[in-house]
Amino acid sequence: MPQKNSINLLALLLFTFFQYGTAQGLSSKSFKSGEHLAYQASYNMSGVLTTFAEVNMKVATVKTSKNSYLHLKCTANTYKKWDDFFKIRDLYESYVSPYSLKPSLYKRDNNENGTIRKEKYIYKGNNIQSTYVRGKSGEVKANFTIPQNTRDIVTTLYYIRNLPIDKANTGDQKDFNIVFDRKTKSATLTFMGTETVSTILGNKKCYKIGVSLKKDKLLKGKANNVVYITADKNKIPILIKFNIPVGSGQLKLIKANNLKY
Amino acid sequence: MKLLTSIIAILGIIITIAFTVFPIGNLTIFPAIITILCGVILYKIYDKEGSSTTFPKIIIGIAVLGAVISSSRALLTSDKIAEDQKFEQRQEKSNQEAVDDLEGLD
Repeated sequence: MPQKNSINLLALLLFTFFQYGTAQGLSSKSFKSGEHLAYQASYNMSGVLTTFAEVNMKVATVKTSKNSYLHLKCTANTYKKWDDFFKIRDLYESYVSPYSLKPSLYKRDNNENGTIRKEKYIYKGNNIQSTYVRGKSGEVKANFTIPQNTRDIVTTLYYIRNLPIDKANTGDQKDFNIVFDRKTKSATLTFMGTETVSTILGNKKCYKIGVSLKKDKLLKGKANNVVYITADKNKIPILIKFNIPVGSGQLKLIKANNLKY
Repeated sequence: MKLLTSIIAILGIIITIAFTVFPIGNLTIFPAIITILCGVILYKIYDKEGSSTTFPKIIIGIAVLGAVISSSRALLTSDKIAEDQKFEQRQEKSNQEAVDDLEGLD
């Protein structure tokens, strides 16, 4: 009898440990499945910010017969008033491990005023099996290699939220690689201190992070492209200011549902 | 002075009309104000000369109309995205294809 009790206790301990481990792994640090963030995109025209699109970022769980993945989906739609002039219906999505946020599949399906651009990356270690469609040309397959720890743009957005920013000092930098348009780009994140930003969630203390791409005309200069991330457990990107060669603008949070904390 | 003001007024009216057509909200106010100012200056010049003031009046009228139309449109219309069945279907299809791809990876 005591032996049976010991086995039961051991089983319970193992079960508890397993459950704890699974829960720790499945839930990422700053977001959970079901989270929905919506942003209003504005473009700077002669000093006046003109709204033109809505960007939605959603997290969902996708199950296959053997595994479970986090589906990180990012859509961009121009507002109704712009649709007659320049209609954008962009879809960027990434399927990542819920434990490590390591991407397995990345898809891009853009329709910008009738111009089609599709891309699919299947991650196989440091190799990517890519398929892409540009314009009216058919599907093209191309395989290429990427450096260790290279992520697509969607995964990177969520990966940044899981960085231990609270431990960073002003001026601290972190380099990482992003794969976009079948090319690996080196980027640098610079911690620029904290700032209080007025948001739909009230006045929030935010981490100010500069983003710049090395050897690239796009996203040049750490102070020109800034992401404001709430200095709390959710680490929500509240405001994104961008300055690209064709102009500047911003993405401002307008909706935040199903936050983890 | 008359020629320069007329050129600025004509350019202003073109920009005002273009901005009124495009949904760029209150931005129309700036060219409209410049056009109205030029219109007023032209009105005074034409009036002083004793010539017909129809041209400045038309300029001022169009600029005021453009400013009113775009301002009311900016106030009355909210930023909304259209329901797009095709885009929804594209997302659904993409999701199904992704599950197949992921099954292949497993």
